[in-house]
Amino acid sequence: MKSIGAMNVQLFFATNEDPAAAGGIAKRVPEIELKKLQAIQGLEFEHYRLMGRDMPEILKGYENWATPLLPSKEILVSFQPIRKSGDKKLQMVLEYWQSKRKVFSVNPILTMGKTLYLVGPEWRKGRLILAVKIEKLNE
Amino acid sequence: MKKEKTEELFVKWIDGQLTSEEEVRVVTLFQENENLEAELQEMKSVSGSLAEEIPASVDPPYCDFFNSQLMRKVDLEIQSRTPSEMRGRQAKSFRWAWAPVGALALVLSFFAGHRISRPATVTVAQGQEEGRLIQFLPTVYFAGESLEAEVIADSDGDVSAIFVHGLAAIRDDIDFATVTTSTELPKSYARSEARRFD
Repeated sequence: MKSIGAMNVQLFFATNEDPAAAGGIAKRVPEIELKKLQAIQGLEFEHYRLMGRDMPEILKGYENWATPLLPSKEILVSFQPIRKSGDKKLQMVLEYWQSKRKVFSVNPILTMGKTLYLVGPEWRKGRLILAVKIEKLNE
Repeated sequence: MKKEKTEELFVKWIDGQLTSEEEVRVVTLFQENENLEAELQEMKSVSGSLAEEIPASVDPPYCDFFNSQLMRKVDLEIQSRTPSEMRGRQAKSFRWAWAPVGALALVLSFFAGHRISRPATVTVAQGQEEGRLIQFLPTVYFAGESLEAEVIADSDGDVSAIFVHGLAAIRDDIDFATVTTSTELPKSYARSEARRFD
């Protein structure tokens, strides 16, 4: 299997209540990432926490998986590259899985370095947000 | 009457596009074959039902791939036919009329289990041409729930956020810090992982 790059999949918790509800694994969000989250139209939360991150390889012609919440596998993301467009763009099928169940899938064209935020389900008076980004794309 | 002509008449009959002259010819054919009208009526009914189920404005995703698979199946079907089968009676040759119905059924099965949502709201930076951007925005497919998606594009026209509304909340007692050994994993996950470490 040929690696054509690497993904960066992060899971954030956003809330207007006490962010400690996220538990011990939650970490502060770096300022640069926080600004990006706060810039999303329609997403106006007071606190953001990083719940986990995974940086799997993108294998060509293969259904790849990211597990941003390890050790828990409650939330999974599968992704399969479809076609490359230029040096920095890659269309892929992204699937969001929750407790063994595929909840939705989407076929975006991702640009290397640009984050796609998937604003997902509510949890502990907040909302979970998946951030998906192509970290590296081989030539 | 030549077979191709009658087939064309039948297609037009199903689509309700016959001229008055053609209608007379079809009525004559109905009189010659008492089962013909019932068969065509059934095809018309199936075709109508499928058309109602498939949103006319939604193109199948990855249509190149879909079309190539469809053409491959058609080629295989043609190759598999023996000459004796090709010489079937005219009444049996009505199978041709199932081809568009079959194609529609394939499309329908492709969408089976999915509810397709076009972006409910597309928000773009001021001054951008909305129509230009929409063609690059992704489609969100849902697995059966009554969900809605809102796709947000950035000033370059790239999708930057997708809000999924209507998702069931995750139970508060679920603690992501613990190893949830009881969590069953998707079968495709296990298959992919096994393949990766082969």
